[in-house]
Amino acid sequence: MKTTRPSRLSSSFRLHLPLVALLAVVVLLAAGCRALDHRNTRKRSNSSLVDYLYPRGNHTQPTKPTVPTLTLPLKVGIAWVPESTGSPDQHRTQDSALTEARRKELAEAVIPHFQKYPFIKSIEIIPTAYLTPGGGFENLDQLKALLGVDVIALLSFDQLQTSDSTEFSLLYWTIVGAYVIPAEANRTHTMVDAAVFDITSRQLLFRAPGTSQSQGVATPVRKDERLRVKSEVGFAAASTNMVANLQLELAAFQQRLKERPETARIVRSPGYTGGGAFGWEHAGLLGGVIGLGMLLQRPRK
Amino acid sequence: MVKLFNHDWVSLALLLGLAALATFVPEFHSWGILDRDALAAGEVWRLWAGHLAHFSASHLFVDALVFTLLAGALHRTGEHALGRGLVVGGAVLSVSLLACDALLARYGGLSGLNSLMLGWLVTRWFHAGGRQRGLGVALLVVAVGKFTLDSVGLSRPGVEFDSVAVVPSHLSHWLGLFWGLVLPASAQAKNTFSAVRRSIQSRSSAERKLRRSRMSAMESA
Repeated sequence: MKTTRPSRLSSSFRLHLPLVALLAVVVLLAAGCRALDHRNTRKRSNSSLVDYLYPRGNHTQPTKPTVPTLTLPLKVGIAWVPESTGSPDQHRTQDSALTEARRKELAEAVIPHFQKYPFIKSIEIIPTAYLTPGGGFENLDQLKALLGVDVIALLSFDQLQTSDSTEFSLLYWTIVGAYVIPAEANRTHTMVDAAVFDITSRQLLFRAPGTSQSQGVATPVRKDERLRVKSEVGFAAASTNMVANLQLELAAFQQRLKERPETARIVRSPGYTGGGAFGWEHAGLLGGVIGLGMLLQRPRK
Repeated sequence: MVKLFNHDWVSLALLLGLAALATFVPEFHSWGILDRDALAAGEVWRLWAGHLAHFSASHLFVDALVFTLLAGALHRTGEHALGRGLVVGGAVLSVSLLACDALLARYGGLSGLNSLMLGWLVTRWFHAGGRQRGLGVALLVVAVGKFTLDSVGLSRPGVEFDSVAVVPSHLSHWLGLFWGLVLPASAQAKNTFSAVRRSIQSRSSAERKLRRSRMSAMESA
């Protein structure tokens, strides 16, 4: 009895050892593959102004060029263009990179920079739900009727996030490496664009883009969470850049109105500000006649 | 301001200095601009201060230049009541502008008063007769022609305002010219009326004296 039992165990162990080793290799391979599965990901989210304004090829009938008539002071609306799937026939709201609350927050940051101008009466943030995907100018006409806005700033965005594995990702095979080795190179490119339209004439008054880029390295673990944070930071930075550019564009637009009055017709509305001014030519002409009169006149005694 | 011709240059410099303050210092600008609501709330100084507040440096410069020129020309005609005329005319112009243009909420600029002085100068030159009369008519034709072109939109804006929200007020020019022609004429009519009244009074007193002397002569006889 004493001699037969150990010999049985030993033979059983010898029999199962290759099986255990094979199992370990399979587990290792599976873990490695899981770790390597994260590499080279691309995530893109965007909302297209063109898809919204000219859906289903409506661009074949271009807008008739007319001179915008701006009734000052203006009521301005700000709205984010709805996201589309990219298919020309199908529009639906995706799992958005920007929540409605975040959209409102970013749009609110624009308001203080424009409220200071006396020609802007009010600025209203329009929820994305009010904009029909692919609604076009007809949708803008509805907003004008509903909210009374004269001019609308349409905000659109395009964000691309890439995550590429570097050479150090080989260390993910050790399993522990996937937790401690930052071998994932993440890049986030964001663009936020504001296009300001006069709704009645359907003319683009001016536009301003804002961009941001960021990159860094991370471990594959919690990569999604890190990318989400980077996405939010990217939107904030691009929006700040866009607001700065929008102010410059607004100043340039005002200058264009002064230099080329045919750019837009400014009409008076109740509550307008009037300035009494003699022009240079008029002053010169009057100066000539008055000067002549003074020369011909005998000085008073 | 009333004694403009007692201290001509000092008064003029003071006036233009105030205009510069009301144009370039935002607090003064908002304090001085002719604002319909603020005026209704009792801020009556805006009736005059509104003419001093401008909307850009070039706006102030051109208006101040024309103002100086017109003040000099009126001075040369021997006008002694310019200060008083500006005080009365400034208020009358502001009130009539707000009354005639119901859409106007805020107004600023010296050109309304310039038009008033222009009308005044036309009146003075017209009454002077001779070549001055012809030049007065020429001045009126230039002013009316330019104001008409401005009003129908056939002329380019002469100066730039700092904000596109400020619209040129052509009505202020027309009203200024109107009051410039009417106020001196009414002052002259008042003078004429006073002179006629004085002559009637003196004649009646002379007649009374004559009657009294005749009666005393008859009594003594």
